Amino acid sequence: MFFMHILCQDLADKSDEDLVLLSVDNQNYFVCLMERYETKLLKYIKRISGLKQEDCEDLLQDVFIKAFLNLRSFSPDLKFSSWVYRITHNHVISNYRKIKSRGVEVYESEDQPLWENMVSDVDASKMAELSLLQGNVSIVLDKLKIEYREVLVLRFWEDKDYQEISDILQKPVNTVGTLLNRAKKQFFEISKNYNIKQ
Amino acid sequence: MADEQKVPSGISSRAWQAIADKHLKPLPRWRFIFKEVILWCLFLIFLVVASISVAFIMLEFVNADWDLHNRLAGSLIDYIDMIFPYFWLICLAVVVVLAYYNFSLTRRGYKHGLLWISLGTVGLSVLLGSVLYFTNLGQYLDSVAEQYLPVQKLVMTRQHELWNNPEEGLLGGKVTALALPRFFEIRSFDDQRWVIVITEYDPRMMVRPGEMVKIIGRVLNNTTFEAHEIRPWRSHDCPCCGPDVGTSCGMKSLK
Repeated sequence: MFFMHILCQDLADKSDEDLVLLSVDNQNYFVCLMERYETKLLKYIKRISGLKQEDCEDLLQDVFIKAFLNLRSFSPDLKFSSWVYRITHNHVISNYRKIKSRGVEVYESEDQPLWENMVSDVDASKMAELSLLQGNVSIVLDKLKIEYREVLVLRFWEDKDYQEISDILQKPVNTVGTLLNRAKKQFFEISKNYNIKQ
Repeated sequence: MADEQKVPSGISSRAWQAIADKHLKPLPRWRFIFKEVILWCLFLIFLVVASISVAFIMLEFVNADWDLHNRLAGSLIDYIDMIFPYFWLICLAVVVVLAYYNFSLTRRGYKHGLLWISLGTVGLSVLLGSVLYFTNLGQYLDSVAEQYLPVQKLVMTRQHELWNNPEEGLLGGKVTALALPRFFEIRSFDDQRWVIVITEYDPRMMVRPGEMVKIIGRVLNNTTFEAHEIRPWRSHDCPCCGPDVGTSCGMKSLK
């Protein structure tokens, strides 16, 4: 594995797409892609699933294996990051449905989100009331529907643009816009209720 | 710090190890192409079914005797309700939904919304349906559906009932014998033989044995019916195969 790491350092200037081409013939190159995305994807999984660290790691391992098996389905008309996020999204959603069918509700994310972006993006007047929420955003996120949670995470935490979100969630760009608006609305509604209860 | 993040923390190495242990290889490209081809083939099948539905909807509306709605049903609304091809409309709606779902599963299908895919499918169906309708294929499908499709049989039965009212001046049936230019004979839908008296012969009128016709006129006696107007049973069963293909015969002026 150490040699792999050295190899990846040598390939630092290669694009993700070049690495995909190399990985198809030699699986060792795939390690470099996994390394590039391990941290990002692990955080993404934690944010949208709210599962424990070990469960998220298991999910990510499955995601990497799936991505490797489907390498030849990758098309350069899509960004590799969008493609791998899509696989992750699909896997997490499928896992979420399994967990939900068993009646288990888990959300443990401790990330401090970039919630300010969201506020300025919607309505600056809400800043004051939302400032009360600092630190409690993950609790609010937990109360959102998963489709709203993930679109917010992709936009404001992962900093993806509408086109990328569209490619990841496999929804039209217009639908992404609508989803984001609804997600923000619901986020603020829940935030208010949460403050009142406090 | 940045370097620390790059060192495989274990997940990458675990995944890499799992790939190596199970001797996994990327799936061959043909499998993905095959899946895409299957999806497009299914979409084409849905499109063809939608086109057939459109062709039948057009057929029902074109073959409707709009000018006779009062005699046939009492009012226009009742007549529309009577001839409305509900089955084909439901069929079209179901197929459009299936086509949308199917299309959204194709590689780039997700980029288009429900509205555009549905409108596109309906638009293409109308185009292909029109081609089917105006070609012999539509005629063939119509006769096949009439023979084998229970829903279409039901529609035809209702039509037969409407055109089996000689007392009301409406008679339909199959031409069995010709004695042009004065007479021809038909077998009506209740299996009765009628001699049709032609009051004024139109040379363009080519009533042929075996063809189905609708006749508007009056009963002369138990077995004789005077024709004031002769129409093809379906637009393609043309008794006046001249420039007025699909329309009624020149006898229309004989009222």
